[in-house]
Amino acid sequence: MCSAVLDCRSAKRGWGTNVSLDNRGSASPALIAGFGSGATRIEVRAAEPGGAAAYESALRADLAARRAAGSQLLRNWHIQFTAPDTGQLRSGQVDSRLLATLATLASQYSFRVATFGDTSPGAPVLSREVSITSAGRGDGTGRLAAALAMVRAQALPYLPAHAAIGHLADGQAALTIEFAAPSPLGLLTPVLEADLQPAPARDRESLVRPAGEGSIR
Amino acid sequence: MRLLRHLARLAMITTLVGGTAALAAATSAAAAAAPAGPAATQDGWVRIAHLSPEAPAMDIYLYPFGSPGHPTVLRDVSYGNVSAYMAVPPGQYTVAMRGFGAPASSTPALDSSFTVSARTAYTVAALGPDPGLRVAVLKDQMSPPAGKALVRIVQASLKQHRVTVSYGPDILARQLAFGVATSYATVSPGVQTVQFTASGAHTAMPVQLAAGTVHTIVVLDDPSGLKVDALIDAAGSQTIPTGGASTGLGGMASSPAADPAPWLLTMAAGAVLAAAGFAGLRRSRHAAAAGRKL
Repeated sequence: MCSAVLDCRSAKRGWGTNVSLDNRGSASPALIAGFGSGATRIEVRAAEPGGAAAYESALRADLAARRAAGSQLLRNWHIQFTAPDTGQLRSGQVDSRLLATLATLASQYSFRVATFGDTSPGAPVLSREVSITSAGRGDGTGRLAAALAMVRAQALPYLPAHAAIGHLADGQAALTIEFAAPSPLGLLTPVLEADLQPAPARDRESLVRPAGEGSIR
Repeated sequence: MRLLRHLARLAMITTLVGGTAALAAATSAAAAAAPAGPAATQDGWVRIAHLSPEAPAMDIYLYPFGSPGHPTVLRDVSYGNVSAYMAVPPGQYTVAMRGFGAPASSTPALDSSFTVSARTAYTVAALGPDPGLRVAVLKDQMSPPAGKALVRIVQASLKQHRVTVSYGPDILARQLAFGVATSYATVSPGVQTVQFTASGAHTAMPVQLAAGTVHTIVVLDDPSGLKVDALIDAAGSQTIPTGGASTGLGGMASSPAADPAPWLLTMAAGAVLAAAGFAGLRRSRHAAAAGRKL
């Protein structure tokens, strides 16, 4: 999982010491949000314990997984997408928590994705927000309410930061689901590999390679 | 003449029933052999393991991203149980849990999402306290080196946070933390004593690891301390599971969504045969009536 750091080198003197600053901006490339411009610009970036290389590697793997999962979601006949949404899914621009949530909702409801979006100011990050409308006949509002209850009943990391029923510009009732930044990496590919390790040791130290262990998160 | 008609009708019914039965037998045999077919060999394999002593029995659903109407469902998974492997099409799945017996329309707990690759086997393990249950997906090895056995350890004890595991003279894992799975280790086949050692706790049990088999040894809790659970991941198979694999604590029958194709084919064939028989009967009646008129 990532944690967030503030990268505001140019402004940190003015901020004092009550804000934890991290100057590894180049080693934490994912921009979560940005405020202001020039010398007063403040950027919030993701930080990865393994450093920039590990982060880039995880980012590439996650992008491939999001593209694959998004393309499969396009075949789900319980969900209707608009053309722009289709492009976002195919190009892996949708948060993996949203993808999994939509797949689970589609197991019980038919719905239409009105739009993907994100609420991070000043940062071109993954879409972490979606608005859906009911696509079935009958009590669409009731189904949205049931879907809202399902979404709110989840635990982290699948518990959204915000979920509510509102109305689109055309007056149609819509359920909006928004996940918090940053988008976690590796959620779609949590599989621990079945690699082999050297023959076990006998009566000596160090038997299990730390690298061979999979920490189950 | 009437006797002849009855005999003809009886022969036709016998043919009909026999033909339908034969076709049914053929299609059933085909269905049973489906895993060996070209399409089915692209399937992946998934089994579910309930390794959380505090969590009640549950139903586990695997929802494919692209096919919402065909979840794979395992019902009544209780602590220590491991299902047989189930064939599932490759693709992305979400793993969701419901309480045992809860209707499929009730709210599930979304736990994980993972990709099933073709011809690859996985164990989806539920671990940890309740609440706080989490799911780990482990890729299973199916083919050990010739003449050897493979074994890995999964530490699922909530009572002991660090456990050392040995198999005979071999130490397979030292101070293994909760929620950690080791890689597979190659060991010589035979019967050896598996020992779990933790602070103030010790458990031992003889376990046979035959040549050509793959095992997962799970550290579990029981009321008196630690418990050894030796699961068989693969036995004698060099490729993919050919059905339910044996499991250490009693395999649990799985209930994947049945493929209706063979039954639909059988019903369709039966309908065709019945229609043919009906037409034949009508023709024979017409012929008999024409004969009477003549």
